[in-house]
Formats: sequence, structure tokens, C-alpha cells
Amino acid sequence: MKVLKTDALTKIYGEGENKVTALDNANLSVTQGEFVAIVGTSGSGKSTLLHMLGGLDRPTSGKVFVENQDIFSLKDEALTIFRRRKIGFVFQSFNLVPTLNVYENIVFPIQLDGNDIDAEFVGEVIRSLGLKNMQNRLPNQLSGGQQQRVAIARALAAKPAIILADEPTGNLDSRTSQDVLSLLKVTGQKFSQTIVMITHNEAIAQMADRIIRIEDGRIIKGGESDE
Amino acid sequence: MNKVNNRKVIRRLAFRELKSNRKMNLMVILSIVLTCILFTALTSIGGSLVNGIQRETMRQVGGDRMAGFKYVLPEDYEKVKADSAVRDVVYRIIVGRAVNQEFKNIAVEMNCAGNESAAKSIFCAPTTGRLPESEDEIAVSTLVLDELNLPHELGTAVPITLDVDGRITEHKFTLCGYWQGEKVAMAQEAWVSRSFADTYAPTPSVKFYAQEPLTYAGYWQVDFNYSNSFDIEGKTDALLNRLYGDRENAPDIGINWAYTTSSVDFGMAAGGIVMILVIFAAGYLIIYNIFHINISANIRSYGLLKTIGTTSRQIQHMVRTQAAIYCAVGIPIGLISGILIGKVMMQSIMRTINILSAANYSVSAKLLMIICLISALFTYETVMISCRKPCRIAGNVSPIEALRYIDTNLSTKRSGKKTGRISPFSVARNNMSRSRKKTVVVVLSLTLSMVLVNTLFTYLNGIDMKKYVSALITGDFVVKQSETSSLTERFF
Ligand SMILES: Nc1ncnc2c1ncn2[C@@H]1O[C@H](COP(=O)(O)OP(=O)(O)OP(=O)(O)O)[C@@H](O)[C@H]1O
Ligand SMILES: [Mg+2]
Repeated sequence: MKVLKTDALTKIYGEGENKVTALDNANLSVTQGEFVAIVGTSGSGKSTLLHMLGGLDRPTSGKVFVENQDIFSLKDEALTIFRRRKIGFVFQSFNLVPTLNVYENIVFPIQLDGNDIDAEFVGEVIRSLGLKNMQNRLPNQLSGGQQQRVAIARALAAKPAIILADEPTGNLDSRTSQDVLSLLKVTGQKFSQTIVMITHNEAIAQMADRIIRIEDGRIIKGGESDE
Repeated sequence: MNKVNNRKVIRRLAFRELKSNRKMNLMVILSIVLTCILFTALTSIGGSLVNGIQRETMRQVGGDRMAGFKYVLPEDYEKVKADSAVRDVVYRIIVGRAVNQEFKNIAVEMNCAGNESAAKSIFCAPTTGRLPESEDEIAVSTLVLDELNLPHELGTAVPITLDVDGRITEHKFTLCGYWQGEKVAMAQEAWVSRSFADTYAPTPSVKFYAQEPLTYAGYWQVDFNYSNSFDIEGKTDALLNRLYGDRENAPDIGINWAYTTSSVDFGMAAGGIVMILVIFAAGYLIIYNIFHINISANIRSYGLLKTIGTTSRQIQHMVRTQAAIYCAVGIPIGLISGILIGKVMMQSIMRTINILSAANYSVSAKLLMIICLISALFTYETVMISCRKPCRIAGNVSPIEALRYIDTNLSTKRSGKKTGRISPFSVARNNMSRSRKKTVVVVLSLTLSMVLVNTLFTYLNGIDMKKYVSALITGDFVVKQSETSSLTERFF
């Protein structure tokens, strides 16, 4: 089943001389449970693509379907609600609400939705990411790697349709990066979670099931899943 | 979606964010306290002035009941008492006048009070001793004692020459109670007992206007209140219709004009409204700016919240919750300080204006509650209106903008082409200019409030209270003096 699909996604910034086509007719699709890496050089449009996929910004033209829902047909408020139910985010930094502790951060999107917390599942996620002993700590009492693990836990806990990660290890040293990425991959598999991750590190990209290459806003390889 | 649950998490976040931002807390609370103080001082001074002027008018009128029936019989009293629209019904029985030679400067009426409240209702309740019970007891005002050259002492013998509709008799009473006489009153009061009244002024058998000629002794004066002072004339008219359908036998009525004439003139009311608007504007400016600055500084956090799924409505709810928390802390402090400040200011205002008695301007618990309620409401509304726009800004932060902010912030190298844009110096300068804006706002608002307090004070001092009150008094005497010979015309 296709969890994510785009249709001629285009994003143009600026006008006239300053016009930048950050995304040019991008077509891609992702199947349920897949771990996809998007690679490309700096400025190639990776982040722009990810923001469109997650409904953080609206495209100039084209469509994004998440579980067959055309997300940009939704109004802002509805799109925000859709996002917190269906999409988990992990960014390079500044992922966590500084005033909420680890546990509260993890269950925050669930609570925003007014849902009861599936304590068993959340407990499992927390254990899988090795956060059991630091649930009461505030984000600023955690290392960078620990913070990224909390962000991953938060993304997983809401059982979204996709997790979108934009260089989640960009701020970490290589050893910690390795740890965090393996955790992301292992837990993703364990909870059969669809993951789309941006990186410009080829070695990291090799961990993925599939690599999508992007250059100057165009997808040049791996846009469609084999299925 | 479970509303109760998600409200809880928003509230928790609101609290946490507050706790992490003490500087902002102090500034906001300070400005709320300030606004509240200004509102409270204004309303409490206004309230006690309006109230005091009304009470002074009542003292001149000689009664605090809203309306009354003149020269009626006990059966009329029972009728009024039974009516559901009236309350606080009291009666006095007319006996006569004290016409001792010594009373050159004052008129002294002899009446029998139905009870303590009846005496109180015309401000003639004994403060020392009590109302008379046996036939030879009397309670009088100190002015009567002074005219007779008698000591203010219970048990003193009080000689009285009594005139009951022309019949003169001599009496020797024992003083059983007295109170401070009111010089502005048209006549002084001397209370006798019911048994004395029954002997010398027995209840007449016919209605007042059925007699020929008219006599006053033994008739009752019945005074009462309604639930509120709105349209007393209309209410009294309706009451007469209910009690005396055909109006043939209806008694004379009196309306207490302390209630019907406004104790606030147009200038005062307009001044008050202008003050309220100015305070509102000052409060708005301060609070709006602090909220605005704070929200601009926290755009990233709101962007993050948006990204992970906090809706615009939830963010606005969060900011409003924070404003409400600030109010919950700031308003009580503001109320208490405002009332104290109002009191001090009122005292100095009373020293400058000419007033009958400071006691008239004291604030009752009920009035105090109304003052607090109004001030709290005004302050709360000011805060809520002030944070409306900052609230919308916070709610409408786009997640992408917040992300971009982080992006440019992190990848300093990339923005390196615009050299010097982010340097220690520019950061410091940014910080300084941001805190300079804060400083300017705070200093400006403090100055503004000082100016406000000063203006308020000058304005209130400038009201020519003496002229205002004396105009009332003169008007009163001109009308009433011609009638003082008719002893019963005293009220209303
Ligand atoms: N808000 C914007 N306004 C104008 N141009 C923009 C904006 N955001 C991105 N761009 C441009 O769009 C292009 C793609 O940017 P994007 O951030 O997607 O690149 P990226 O692949 O994520 O790069 P990196 O690896 O450095 O993060 C770049 O040329 C960038 O300058
Ligand atoms: Mg990027």
C-alpha cells in the first residue's frame, strides 16, 4: 500500500530575477513500512521536499497524498491536526519543548489530540530507545544523541503514517550518529513504521531500503517504489 | 477529540512556560497591578464620592428611605407592610412640637419612633442610651440639650413645653438617650415613648383629609424602600394603585429626592469616563507591548509547537491562559493596593473639599465589593483585549518560518556571505536594542501612570465640592423654610 505519494510537486521561491525553483515536478511514492533515504547536495531541495511532504509549507503546484488524503486540500487548522495524527517529525535540532520533561514531550502530540495514552505501547517505545531512566529529565539535561532519541520516541509514540527526518544526526558526532540511526532503523522495523529520512551522507543513506536522489529540485533516481 | 484532555495539556504547558520566564512574569504582573490600582483607586474614589454626596443629601432631606406616606393611620401601615414590593418599612407617630422659650434657633419636633430603625432612618437614633420606653422618658439630639443648657448625661431632667395642635402642656422628662444633632437638619428630633404618645396624641379615628380643621397629632408617617432606587415615582404610583385602587383615599406621598436627583453631574461623569479610557489606553499600551515583545522573542517555540501539531486555536488558548494566570496574581494585589491608595487620596480630597461629615464618605462592605468587582472586571478586560493581537500572532506563526529561523541560526557558515551580520557585536547590539525597547516601554508606562495618578488627584481636587453641596443646601432651605411652621412637613 502506498502511504505517501506526490504528484508533480513544484515549489518556486521568489519572483523574477530572484526566482528559485527549489522543487521541480517531483514525483515519488513510499510504501508502508519502507525506510527511504533522500540524498542530494546542499541546496538541492531536500528540506523543501520534506516540508511539503509533512504539510509544513504549501507547494506552488502539485499534490501530496498521505494515506490517500490530499493534504493540501485541508485548511490550515485541519492540516495541523492531520499532521499531529499522521506525521512524526525529527529535525536536526530544536525538536523538543524545553519546558516539558522527556515523558511529557513524548506524549505531547497524543495529548494535544485529547486521546488517552496507550501506556503499554509508549512504554515499549521508551524502552526500545533506552530512555526509561531519563523520563523525568528536561531536554536541556540531555545530550544531543539522547535528545534525538526522545524526538524519535515522540514520533513513534503517536503511531503516525510516516516519520519524516531531516538530517536527524547532523549535529551529532559519528559514533552517536551511528547509535541513533541504528535505533531509528531498528525501532522503525519493530513497529513497522514508514520512515523518510534526509541526509547528505552516502554511508548513512546505505542503511535505507531505498535511496531517492535529488539534484536541483529534480528527482533523478529512485522516486518510485518497486512494488 | 477529547476537549477536556487537550485543554489540560495546554494549561500545563501554559504554566510551564510561565515558570520559565520570570522576567516577563514580573513585568506583566507589575503592569497588571498598576492598571488595577488605577482602576480601583478611581472607582473607589468615585464610588465614595457618589455615595457620600448621596448620603449628605439624605441628611439634608432628613431620611434615608426612598419614599413615604404622610399622615396615615396604623391600618395604612399594615397595608404597606404587607405589599411585596416594599421593604424596610418604618413608622413614626406625630405628637407635637417642643416650644420652650429657649428654642430660638432650632425647631424641635416631638415624635414617637416605631422602633430603632425608624429613628435610624432619619439619622436620629440615640448613640448613647436608648429610645424612651416609659412615659416620662425622652431622647433628644445634643443640639436640643445645648439649647437648654443641659449636660450630655443620661438621667438629666429635661423640661419641655409641648404644643399638640395648639394645646400647650408642661412636662418634665428624664433623658434616656441622645445623639449628635445635625445642624443642617431642618428640625431637631425629640423622641417620646409610645405610652406618652397614646396619652397626648391618641390615634385619630378618621382619615387625615376627612377632618375639619386639619390636625396632625396621632397620625403616622410611614417610610419605606423598594428593592432598588430606579423609577421610585413609578413604583410609588403603582403601589398607590395597588393599595388604594380608586385613589380617593390615597394618602399624600413623599419621594426622597436624594435618590431622584443625580449625585453626579455631567462633568463628573464625563471626567470619570475619560479617566477610565485613559487608564485603559495606558494599560493596553503597556501590556500589549510586553506580550508582543515576548511573543516575538518566542516565535521559534510557537513554530515548534505548530510543527508537532498544536493548532492555532490551541496556541491562542495557551497565551490567553497565561494572561488569565497573570490576572489571577496581579488583580488581587492591585485591588488591595488600589483600595488603600484610594483611601489615602480620599482623605486628602476630603481635607480640601468642604464636607458635612467624613463618615458619609466611608465605604461600606457592599460598596467595596462592587468597587472590587468593577475594577477587577475592567482590569481583566484590559488585559484580555491587550493580548488579543499578540495572541493571534502567536497562533499564526508558520512552522516553516520557525524552522528557517533555526536553519539560518545554525548554519552560520552559509550566511557567511553577508559578513558581519551575525557577530558577537551584532548579537550584543540586538540584545541591547531588544532590552532597550523593553526599558523604554516600562519607563514610558510608569511615567504615564504617574501622570495619570497626578491628573486624577488634581481633577478631584479641582471639583468645587463646597459650591456643589452648598447649592443643594440653599435650594433646600428656600423651599422648606416657609413650611417649617407646619411641623409635619419636615420629610421629603
Ligand atoms: N524561503 C526561501 N526563500 C527563498 N529560497 C529558498 C527558501 N528556502 C529554500 N530556498 C532555496 O531553495 C533551494 C533548496 O533549499 P533546501 O533548503 O531545500 O536545500 P537542502 O537540500 O535542504 O540543502 P541542505 O542540505 O543545505 O539542507 C536552495 O537554493 C535555497 O536557497
Ligand atoms: Mg536542508
